[in-house]
Amino acid sequence: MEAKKKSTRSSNSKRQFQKLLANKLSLVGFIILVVITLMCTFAFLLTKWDPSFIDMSLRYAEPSSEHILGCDQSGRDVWARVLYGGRISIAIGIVCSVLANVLGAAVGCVSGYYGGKLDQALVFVKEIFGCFPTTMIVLVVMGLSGQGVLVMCTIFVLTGWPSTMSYVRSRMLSLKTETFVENLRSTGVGSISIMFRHLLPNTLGVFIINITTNIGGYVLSEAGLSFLGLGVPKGIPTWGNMLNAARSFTVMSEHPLLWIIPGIAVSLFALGAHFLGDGLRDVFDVKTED
Amino acid sequence: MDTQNTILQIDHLKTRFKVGKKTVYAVNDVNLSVARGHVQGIVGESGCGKSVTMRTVLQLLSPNAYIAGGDILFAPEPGGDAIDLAKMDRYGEEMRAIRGQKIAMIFQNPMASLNPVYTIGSQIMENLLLHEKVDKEEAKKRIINLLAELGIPEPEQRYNEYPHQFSGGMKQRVMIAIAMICNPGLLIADEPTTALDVTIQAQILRLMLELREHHGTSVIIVTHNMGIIAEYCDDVAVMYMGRVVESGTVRQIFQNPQHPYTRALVRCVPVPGMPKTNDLETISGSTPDASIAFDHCEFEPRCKFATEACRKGFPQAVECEPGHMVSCFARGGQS
Amino acid sequence: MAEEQSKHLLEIKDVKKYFPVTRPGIMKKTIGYVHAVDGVNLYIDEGETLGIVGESGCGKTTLGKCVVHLYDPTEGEISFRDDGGSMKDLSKLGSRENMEMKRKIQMVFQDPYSAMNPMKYIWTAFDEALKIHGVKERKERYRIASEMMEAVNLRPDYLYRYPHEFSGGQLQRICIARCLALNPKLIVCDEPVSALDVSVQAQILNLMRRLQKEYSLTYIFIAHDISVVEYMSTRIAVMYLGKIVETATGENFSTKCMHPYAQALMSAIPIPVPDAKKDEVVLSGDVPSPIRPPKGCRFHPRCRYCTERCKTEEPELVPVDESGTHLVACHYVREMLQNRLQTAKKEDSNAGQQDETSAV
Repeated sequence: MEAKKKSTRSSNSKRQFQKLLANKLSLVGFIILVVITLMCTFAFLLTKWDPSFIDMSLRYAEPSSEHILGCDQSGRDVWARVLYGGRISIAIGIVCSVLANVLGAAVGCVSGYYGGKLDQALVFVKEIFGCFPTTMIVLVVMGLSGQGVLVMCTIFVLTGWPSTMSYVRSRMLSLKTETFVENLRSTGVGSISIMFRHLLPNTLGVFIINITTNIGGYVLSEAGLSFLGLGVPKGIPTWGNMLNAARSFTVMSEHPLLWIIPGIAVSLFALGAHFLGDGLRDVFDVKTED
Repeated sequence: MDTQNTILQIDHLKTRFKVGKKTVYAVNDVNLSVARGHVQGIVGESGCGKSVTMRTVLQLLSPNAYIAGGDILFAPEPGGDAIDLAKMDRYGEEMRAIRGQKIAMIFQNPMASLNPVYTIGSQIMENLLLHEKVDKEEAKKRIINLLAELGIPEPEQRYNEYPHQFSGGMKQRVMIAIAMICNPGLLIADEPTTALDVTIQAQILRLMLELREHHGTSVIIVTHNMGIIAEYCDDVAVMYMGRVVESGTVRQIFQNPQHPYTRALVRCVPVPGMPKTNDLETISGSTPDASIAFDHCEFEPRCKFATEACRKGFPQAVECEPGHMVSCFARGGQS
Repeated sequence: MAEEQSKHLLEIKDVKKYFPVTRPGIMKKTIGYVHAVDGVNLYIDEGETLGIVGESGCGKTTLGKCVVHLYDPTEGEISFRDDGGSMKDLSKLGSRENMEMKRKIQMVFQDPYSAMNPMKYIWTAFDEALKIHGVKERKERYRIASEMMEAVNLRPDYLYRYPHEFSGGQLQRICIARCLALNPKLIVCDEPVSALDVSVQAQILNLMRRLQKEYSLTYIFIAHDISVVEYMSTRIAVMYLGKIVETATGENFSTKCMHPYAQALMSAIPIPVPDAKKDEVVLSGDVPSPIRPPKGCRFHPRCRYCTERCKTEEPELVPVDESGTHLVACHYVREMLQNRLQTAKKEDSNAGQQDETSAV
């Protein structure tokens, strides 16, 4: 019996994985994400340089065997900065995306399931957060409190949860009318358990898709804000801060490697996240047979 | 084909669907002939291909469906020539002229079959003007007459109302009006009352019998309800897994069912007043997957009387009494 | 009287359930009420099957959901006999008693496909239900679940499958098995077979009858198909627009029903017997809206015997036989009874004279 059980279980996850592999584009996205993340995580194996080590003698150095992608305006190794910078950028992306989605899903879950006055109130709060333009808030808050990774992440999360919330809420509204919910209630299962253990998993698919695509989105946002000089403080190497260098025209025209490399990294990462998210859509639909 | 007495004759029809890499064998060799002026019932469980057969007649199939063989001979005029609908282009001019004018169809869900943004008058008018050259005043008169005939109270007023102002039963009457406005020779009703309450169902079915009386329309009623067949039809065809397993007059089928499937179908529904001590007759198992092609009688796995011969091929239909056809090896069928 | 009461397993007293109708928008305002169930009195004895029959919107499902406590009745009282033999009002229970009642009253739903969580193995449905009701050992839970799967003729290893891997009939059997796992007293079956094919329908009906004997269950069988209800039930209640218009024992209900609506319902059911003789009673019109039910007798706009009295005065359920189990809510039930006796007499003596009671 136990053996039988295991075989059905594993065959199911296997089927899901096979579905993911069957979608070529999502496979490519998956590989891109994994490779970039691994490269950044194990950056110390790929370069011997410290990304913050300044050597003014190597200012704008051309690529050489020592510095494979050359050095930037302060003589820091570009390759090391791309790798170590990726760590921060990806971390910001993952943390913000997970937090925003978890918050959105939790609020959406409660709001959709209970309905009534609570739902109205929560939807109202969502509307308020949803209509603030992220960039403007960042501008204001950064102006008031100064730059900081934490501040930026908080703003990302606060402006990011409404979209997930409205999705989960509308799913909840339709799911709670399904008979199986009544079935559970008539057995005596409590509301919290129904909400989080039974209904939430039914929205899991899109939850994960949202997380994946949002990771790419936040990496892009970080890059955009940092490019404007409003994101992560200058000293910390991130892809966005590296792109910031391209604001000078001389760097733009004469040292293209300085901005092309982080640019490619950001774009590849965001693209990979999108491809993967698209493929996951199929995987999480239990009902679609191959 | 005897076009004097027969309006539609389906010979060896096969319809298939391509779904991904699989093929779904929805209709496998359907033979059916509909007598002029009769109410023909087609009965079977879900997935038996009864609806697909009817959609194939009008070529109202999804793009992944195709006719794999067979003929659909349709004779609009008694004594006239029969045309083969199966050979027509599904998007062609000819087919469109037949749909709605010569053969009309009504569907299961009247709530979803009407466009909510147009008045019911204009929706009926559309079908009329599509097929006939009449001026609008006269068309309106004809429509109002028809609505009155179909039992819609205050037809002049209702003409200008929108579908949401109609109840389910009234919407199905409007659907019948759309179907009947061009006075088609054949009306196909695909589960016309499944979405309706029983008292409304009785109204609608009775109405269809009246139409047959007044206009001489031949009617095909597709249903899963044996009661509707017994009460409202003249002839029946019983379908299982894309095949007509037995056909004949209502009396032949209900009083002398020959195929094991028909026998079980007739006996598995409770009848008011039946003794409660007996269990109902059942058919073991459930309908097999239609995406696997059978090489022998499809009913064999569920059949109580299956023998070695049943696993060897498909039984051909034999006439066990005049007009009563059955396809079963146990009843003398040969492969 | 008190002794007699304790015989009943469940009692429904003047139960009303209204749903507010609100105008959409931010300023939600109640503009009326759907009178889904409007003053229903019923009782259920142990071991019997009470059939509730009626058309869509008559409130039969709402009544069923009130019994399993999915809805709280707006008014009235539903009481269930506990182990000690005394009746307990379901809405006034402590949380522990409440759980016990939830275990004892189970429900089988119409659409088996949506009655199971599509994301989870069907085992989790058993597992969770049993865990809540105090079966602590996982092994024990698994044993009960497999036993119940076998009781409904399914392989126990099907427990580790997803709902979409089953056919409708199999899933409905699983739903029944899940109810049985909790060892209930009463199962409310809400249209359990109307989503299924006829041959599968018979399988489920036979199964339910067998289980009723084996596990000494009591059923409330809610359906719109009166021939199925008649076959299953020992007693039948006919509902129309939130009210019960007739109750009688299930034996020959089709011939003995008296209320004009019950008769019309009977004659509207197509019977799978060609040339079956039937009284032609085709109802005209549709069921009125339950938001503004008609005054007086709710059936009067569609009734062919309607008089002025019917339009103003609401009829009570009155007994028409000696045992008092056959109740009809119609002002003219006495006349009908007389009429029926007379026609029976006439048929006996072959005298074919029509008399003045023909107005009824």
